[in-house]
This record gives sequence, C-alpha cells and structure tokens, in this order.
Amino acid sequence: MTKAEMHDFEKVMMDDPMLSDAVDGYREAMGTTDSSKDLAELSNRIKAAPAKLVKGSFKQWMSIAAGLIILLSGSVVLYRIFNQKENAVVVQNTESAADTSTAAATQVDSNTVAINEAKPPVIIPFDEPKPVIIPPAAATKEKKSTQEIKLSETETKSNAFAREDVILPQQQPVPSAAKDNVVTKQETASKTPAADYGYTRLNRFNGKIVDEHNNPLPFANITEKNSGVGTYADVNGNFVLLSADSVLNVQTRSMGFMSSTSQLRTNSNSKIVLRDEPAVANAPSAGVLYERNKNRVIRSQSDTTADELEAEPYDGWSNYNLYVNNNMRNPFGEEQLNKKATPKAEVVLSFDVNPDGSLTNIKVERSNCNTCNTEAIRLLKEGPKWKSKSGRKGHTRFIVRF
Amino acid sequence: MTFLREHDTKDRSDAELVSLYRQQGDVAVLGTLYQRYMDLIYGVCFKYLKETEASKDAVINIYEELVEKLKKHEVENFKSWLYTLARNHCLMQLRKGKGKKTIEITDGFMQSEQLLHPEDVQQKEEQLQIMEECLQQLSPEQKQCVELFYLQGKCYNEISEQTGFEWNKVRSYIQNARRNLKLCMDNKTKQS
Repeated sequence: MTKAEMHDFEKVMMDDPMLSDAVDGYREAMGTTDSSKDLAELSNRIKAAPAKLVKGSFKQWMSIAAGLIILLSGSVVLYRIFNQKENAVVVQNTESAADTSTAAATQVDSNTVAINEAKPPVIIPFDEPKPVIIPPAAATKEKKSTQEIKLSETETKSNAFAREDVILPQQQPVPSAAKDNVVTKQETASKTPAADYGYTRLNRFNGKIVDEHNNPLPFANITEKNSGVGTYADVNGNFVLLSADSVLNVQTRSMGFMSSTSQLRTNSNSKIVLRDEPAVANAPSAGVLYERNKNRVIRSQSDTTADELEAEPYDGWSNYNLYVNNNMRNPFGEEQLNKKATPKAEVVLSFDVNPDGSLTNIKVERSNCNTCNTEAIRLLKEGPKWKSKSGRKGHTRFIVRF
Repeated sequence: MTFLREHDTKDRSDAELVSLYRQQGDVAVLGTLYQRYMDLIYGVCFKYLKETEASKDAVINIYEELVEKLKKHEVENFKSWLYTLARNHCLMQLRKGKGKKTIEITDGFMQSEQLLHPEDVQQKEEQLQIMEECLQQLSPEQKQCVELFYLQGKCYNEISEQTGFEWNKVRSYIQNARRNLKLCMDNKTKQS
C-alpha cells in the first residue's frame, strides 16, 4: 500500500469502528501467525458448515413428524381394541336372545306333541348355548293362542326365560326387556310342575354324539322315547339334558346313520356312537341312491343364491341342513321321510335376522302344505342360530322341504 | 443452479441478502454474506482473544450464532450489528475463560458515520470559521496530528515518523481531536 492509500484507508478506518478493531487485531497477529492461511481455512469451513446446519432443522421436522405418526397409530390401536370389546358384548346378547326364541318355540310345539299323562317326566333339554325348556303339558295349554304364524317381537321375547328360572321353583329376576310378561308366564309354567311334583331335584345328563371314527355329529337329534321330547346336539355334537329321572332312555339319530337307542345315566358323560347306514341287500341303483341323497341333503335351502342373502346360519348351510334333516318331525308320519317320491311339500319362510342373532318377523312366503307350516316354523325357531352378514338387520328366506 | 445463485447473491447488497436469508432460510446465502466480513471478524476476534486458535473458533461460533439470531432480529445495518455481535461474543469468551478482566471498550462507537447534510455555501463559510476557532483550542499534540492527517493528507506511519509519536498514539490523538472539535463546534453553533 502506498502512503496515500494508507492515508485513505486510515481515514475510513477512523469512522468505521469495526475496521479499526480489525486492524488492531491484525497488528497483534502480525508475526505470530499467517493470517491469510487462517482466513482461507475459515472460508472453507464456512462453506462446509451450511450442510450440517440445514440437516439440523430438517431433523427437527422429522422428529415432529415421527411423534405425530406414533400418536396417530396409538389412537387407531386403542379404537380397535374398544371396537372388539363391543363385538364381544353383541355376540353374548345374540346367544341369549337366540336362547329365548327357542324357548318360545318349544312351548308352541308342545301343543302338537300333547303330553297328557298325569305325571309326565319332567325333562328339560339343556344345552349350553341353547337352553330348550319344555314345561309340562298343563302349562302349555294356556299358550294355544301362540300358534299364530306371525309372531311379534315382544311376544317372542316374552316367551323367553332363562332356564334357571324355570328349573328352580323359586323365581329369579330375569334380565330381559319384557319383564312383566316373562314373570307371569313363568309363574304359570313353573308353578304347575312345582304344584304337581313338589320340589324336584333335577339330574343332568350330558354327552357327545359321534360316528364310528369319533367325528362329532353336529345337530344330531336326541329324543326321550316316552315323551317324544328331545333336543339336538350343538355343532360339536355335545348335548345336555335335565330331568327328574335318574335314567333316561333316548333315541339318537342323524342323517346317514342308523338311529340308536341308549340309556343315559345321571351325572355321567355319555358318548353315543352312531353307525353308518348299512348297504341294503336289494339296494336301489346308484342313480336312485344319488337322487335320494340329493333330496335328503337339500332339505333346507334358500331359493336365492347365497350371495344375495343378507343372513346365513351361524354354523353354515351344510350343518343347518343336517339339523333340519335330523330334527324334522314329519307331519305325514315317519315312513314318509325316506320315500323316494315324497310329495314335494315345501314351505318358504322369510324372516329377519337381528344383529344379536334373534329372529323376528317370521312369515310364510308360500307353502303347498299348510300343516307343514307349523313344523317349518318350529324348526326355524328352535334351530341353530343365524347371523346377519352385514352386522345389521338382515332379511333372508329359506325353504323347508318335507 | 447453484452457480447462478452464487453469481446472483454476490452482486446483492447486504440488506438484500439479509432479507433473502430470512425468507428462505438458505444457509448458503448467509455464508456468502458472512464471507464479506469474515476477515474483519477475524481481526476483531484476534484483537480481543489474542490467539489464533481461539480467534478461529470464535469466527465459526459467531457464524453459527448468526444463523439463529438473524432469523429472529430485525437488522438495519448488518455490518454494525455483526460487529456488535462479534465483540460481545469475544467479551463473553474472555469473561468465561479468564474471570473478570475489565477491558476498555474503545470509543469507536462514538464515531459512527456522519451523514452529511446539504449545506449552503454561506453556512459552510461560517462553519469553517468556527472550526478554525475550535482547532486552536485543541491540545498541541492533537492539533498537530489533525493538521498533518487532514490538512496534509499523511498516513499514520508518516505522522508517527515525523512527530515521534507511536502509531497508536497518533491514532488516539486524531480520534480525540475529532471528538473535541465536534463538541466545540456544537457549542459554538448553539451559541450563535
């Protein structure tokens, strides 16, 4: 720098405190360090620095985003858990509702299977998911009016009562909506047995119905011989019966098997084995057998394709068919059942399946055998439960072929 | 793209770069701005910290402080604001490292740039007269240095040689003289 340049520089320096300080600094630094080298190094560091700093703020945003995602997923999981709990509750209600509807049907049925003896054995078929209560004949006479095909919802419910209440003479409070109705009917039902027989201690008969290979026979029918009153096994072949007697003679039957008679003993778990129907010496031809088989199997069926239906049997159509076949009480008589040329008696029923599985609004859509209607309805009401596909009320129909 | 951007930013003023940085948060813009003054910052730091390594660290640290603070504060004059920031940083360093050592703060601040107002010729004449009078009131050393610097246009080195005063002394004489003159002239203009 020339002197003149220096003068100019100094002039500026005087007005610029920063420059002034810097000059001071460099004067200090002179000799101790090579400032230009240091400055070059610093310049490089400054250029490199941005990369780190930018990442820092980015990281901040990332951590915020991550936190939000965790919160969201946490809330979704909680929501699902709560939903599942609700479903469990609904299922239980379904079962209890189904129980009650079967109970009602049984009472209706009792009319047709009139038990008019002085002291009919008190048999109460007792199935874990499906309590079926059969009060003695005396009580059921009062319920003649309920032969109506159309049943209102309240009536269905009012006919229902928990089995505990019927079994014990003391009446226990029933947790259902139509409480008053229930209580009155209960009284008529339970009072009579109590009055007739005094306090009866009931025995429990349970067991399982299987085939020769130990496979369970779902919905096999098991009936007490004298009274003709019976029940059906559940989808796993298990059944329970309650009776005042300590020994029961029962007949068990299931589609495609020889029916068998057995004696059940109280408080013991019985295993009933059914054997396959044997081939008969003068067996019909293969074609005939095929036809017969076809008719047998398709005893109950929907008249629309499965997809169009809003509801279906809970345990599936094939099991439901078994149930119908095993438990049908032929209005024409036993012999007719296996005849090849059965009159094609059909009853088409339509009904609603509620989300809890209960059946309402049962109607006969068409039928060519009016006497069959009752049986068809009985089968439906006593039968295994249905489920609505959508989770809401589903309307569906099915055909019972006799 | 970076090429163009650098070219762009280099031609822009300090104020433009500051606002650009505040809008976009682009640290590269800040880097360009800082590099303009990095030399000075280094010098200032060295003045206070008196050490190469410490000064280098200080320069980098000040830069990082800058990244955040420039976002938050409204800055009119970037250069002077930066200068204050650097100085405060250095002083804090010193306070931490060495305990309480008092450091004289130069009265550089008093010497901010003065805006020149447009003046009439007549006023100028009057002012010159006043200045002459005030000049006489200075101490001899101050008077001498001022005359040599302003009237003769000499650089500090020359004045130092001529008067025998140390370089730093020359500088401080001139600075004090300026202040005194200013005070005197203000008084005189008030009176008249």
